[in-house]
Amino acid sequence: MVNNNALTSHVLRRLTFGIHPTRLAQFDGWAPAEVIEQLLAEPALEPVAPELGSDDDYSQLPEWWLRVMSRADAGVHERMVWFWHTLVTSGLSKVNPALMYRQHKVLREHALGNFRDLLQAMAVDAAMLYWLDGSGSTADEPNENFAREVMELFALGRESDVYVEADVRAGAKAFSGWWIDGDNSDEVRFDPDSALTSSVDFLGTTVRTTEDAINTICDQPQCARHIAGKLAHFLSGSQPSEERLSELAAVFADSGLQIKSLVEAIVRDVGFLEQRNNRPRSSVEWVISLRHLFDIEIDGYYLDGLGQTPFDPPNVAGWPGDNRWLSAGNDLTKAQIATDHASDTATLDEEDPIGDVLARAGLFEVSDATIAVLTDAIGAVDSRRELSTLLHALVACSPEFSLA
Amino acid sequence: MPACVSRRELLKWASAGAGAAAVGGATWMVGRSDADHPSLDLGSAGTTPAGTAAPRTAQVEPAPIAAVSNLSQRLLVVIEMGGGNDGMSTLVPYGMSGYYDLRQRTAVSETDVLALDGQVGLHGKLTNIHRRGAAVLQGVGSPKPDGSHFEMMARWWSGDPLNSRSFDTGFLGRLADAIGDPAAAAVAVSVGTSSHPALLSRKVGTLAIPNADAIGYVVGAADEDPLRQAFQRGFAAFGDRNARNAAGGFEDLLREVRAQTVQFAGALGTFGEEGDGGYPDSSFGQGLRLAAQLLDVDLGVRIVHVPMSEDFDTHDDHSGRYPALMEELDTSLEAFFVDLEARGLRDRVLVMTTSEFGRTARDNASAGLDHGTASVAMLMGPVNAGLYGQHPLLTDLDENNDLIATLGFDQYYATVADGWFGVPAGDVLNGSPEPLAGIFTTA
Repeated sequence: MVNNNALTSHVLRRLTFGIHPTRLAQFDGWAPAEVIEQLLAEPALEPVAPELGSDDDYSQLPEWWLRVMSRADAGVHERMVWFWHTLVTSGLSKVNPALMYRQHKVLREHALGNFRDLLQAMAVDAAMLYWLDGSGSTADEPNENFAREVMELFALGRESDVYVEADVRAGAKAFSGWWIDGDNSDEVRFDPDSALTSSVDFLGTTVRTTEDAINTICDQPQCARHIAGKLAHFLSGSQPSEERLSELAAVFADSGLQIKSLVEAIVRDVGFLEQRNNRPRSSVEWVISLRHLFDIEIDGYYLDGLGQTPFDPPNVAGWPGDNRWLSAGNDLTKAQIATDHASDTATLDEEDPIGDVLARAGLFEVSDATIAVLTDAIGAVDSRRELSTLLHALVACSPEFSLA
Repeated sequence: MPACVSRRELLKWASAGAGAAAVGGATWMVGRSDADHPSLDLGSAGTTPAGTAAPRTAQVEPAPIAAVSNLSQRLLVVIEMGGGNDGMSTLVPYGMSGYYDLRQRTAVSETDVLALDGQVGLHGKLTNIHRRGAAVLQGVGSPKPDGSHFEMMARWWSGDPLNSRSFDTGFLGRLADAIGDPAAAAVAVSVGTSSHPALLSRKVGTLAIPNADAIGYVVGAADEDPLRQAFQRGFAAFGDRNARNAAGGFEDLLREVRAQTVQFAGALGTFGEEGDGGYPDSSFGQGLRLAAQLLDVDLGVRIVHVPMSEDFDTHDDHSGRYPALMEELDTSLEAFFVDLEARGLRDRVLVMTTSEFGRTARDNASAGLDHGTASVAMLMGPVNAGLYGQHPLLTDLDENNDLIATLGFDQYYATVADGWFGVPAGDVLNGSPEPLAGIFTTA
């Protein structure tokens, strides 16, 4: 029989960013299904905007979001903003912080709304127009970048065979005509003269405008399937079976691509609670979890060493996932972060220091091997303070703490 | 059929123009002059004699470095130019007909080219590479190209130009398996924060690390610091291979990574060197510095993979962005070669470049270049500098109006596997792609 705490912990790891201590207290004694419903019902955060406008914007913006994601009341909506940022992404390597924040607000608006609206808005978002070179693209000599990636990565997937190279070229024409008015607050403008004036064949139908093309993409049955697969993987940790994927895609399509409906279908499924510890924590998840465990601010720049600074994905595919987080470099960096921050942690229960620190970490299913390592550590230092430092640092570097 | 230029003719060209005497020079000779491996495609030959192009002069480097003859001492550094490097900007076909028609907005001016012959030359920012000399392979790509970054990266990483999906390891991982010591902490290392698919291996250890700064956190605590000692003991114990959980899955993978990390850190020991080592303070420059350090200590590392974080995906403003990319490559590599010299490794280290694809033959309205097909690849170190393979014709494009590859990238890989490491191509690649001959120097 699985400990109820383990299930609550699992739900918090997947529907929020980690185990915030006040959440564990709040849900003490709740059934997991009640925790799920509570989190689904909670409103979106409305955080105070970041203070941008200085030379520090490139670090301030990621720091700002990390603080928001670390809040006790960060929940499903915040989680979904993060999901969309990892999938329909843009990044600071090419786009300035002000426009990245503008895009962030688009994702906040649609994170649990309708996917079609989200994609329509992102197609003409200034950051996206810079990131994938839509700005200035003309129908005569279109830039293909956005047309390719919106199908390959964002909405349809490469394996689907739904589109061919000719669709990339045709789509690029339909997406042309947009430009960014640098003299007027980077407003997005449309220039009919450089846009498509007659229809082109695209995905088996004809389209002329950006709106047509996005609608056509969203109308493909593969679109619901692609998003359902990505989100199921994100929330439950593994790719669903073909049968399950078809069910989820049907739910999503029948709802008219309502994101909330898809989230509910994934997390209310009985299998959701069984898919515990089946993927590594991403670096953002690991660092936020450590902030909760150590009850301390951890500078965002450490995330650079762990390869996942929010707003700064390595490329248009977002961050590499799952076992690619398991690298010697990340392991070393985790040791560094844990060592540098563990000394100010709370004093542990004298009777059961190991149980105490594991509970704070939200770890209720811990292997004997890990318990043995922690037990060995107890006699190694003299003071209670040092013992707390040691156990916190070791739990942070345990295999279990690196699992989501 | 394309003609082929012999070394003699090339030298004649080079000496024909005043001030251009050093261009072909001792450094830039055509690698092969036999008919099996035509080294230069003249195409329809609207040729511009090199002498009239007023190319920049370059110093003549002494004779090429002779490769160490003991194959087990040979090392490899792989530079990945992510995003798709435009081969026609690295090796500019300024003398080939069609170039300035295709590249109306993004052409490299003839006066900015470091000429190699009357047809092609290196980008003007590659002054050090030009001076030292490189083996430049032309028309490298796949016979069935694809426009997706991720598809083509997967092919390059796995070593399969046709994507028959027959490999669950990476090309560099298989190469490491073939040449490495299974007892070594790592045979191949990728400089980066996430583990790299190209390095997936079966027998030997491979790992990813962005820098060595944090090694002191996991090994080497002082006796008078029992807290840190206890942390390091526990940190290592999580990776104890005997205490492996039978549960499998990611927890076991994490323990395995821990075991590797600790073994690697222990082998490296106190490793840090102060300062920038004379390298640019960029992630690529410092990545090459780490590569030199890893290859210099006796750890069993044979291959270091250094991805450039710079973005080669120049869909817009290509001409504004590209020179900085080449300058980064050139200055960082120059520091690397100077460093190798000081470490006595020049005869042991081969540098190769990779990129998932080249860019469109024709530029777009944003003065950029979209996803294309064939590109160039460079081999540097103990090589016979010069041009290898044929440049794709610019007047005979494929059905999408892109370059037709003249050399499969598996042949490029085969050249490194067989020619540099003595590993038969068939051991690490599909079929047995034929290595190019004559590239590597001998003692």
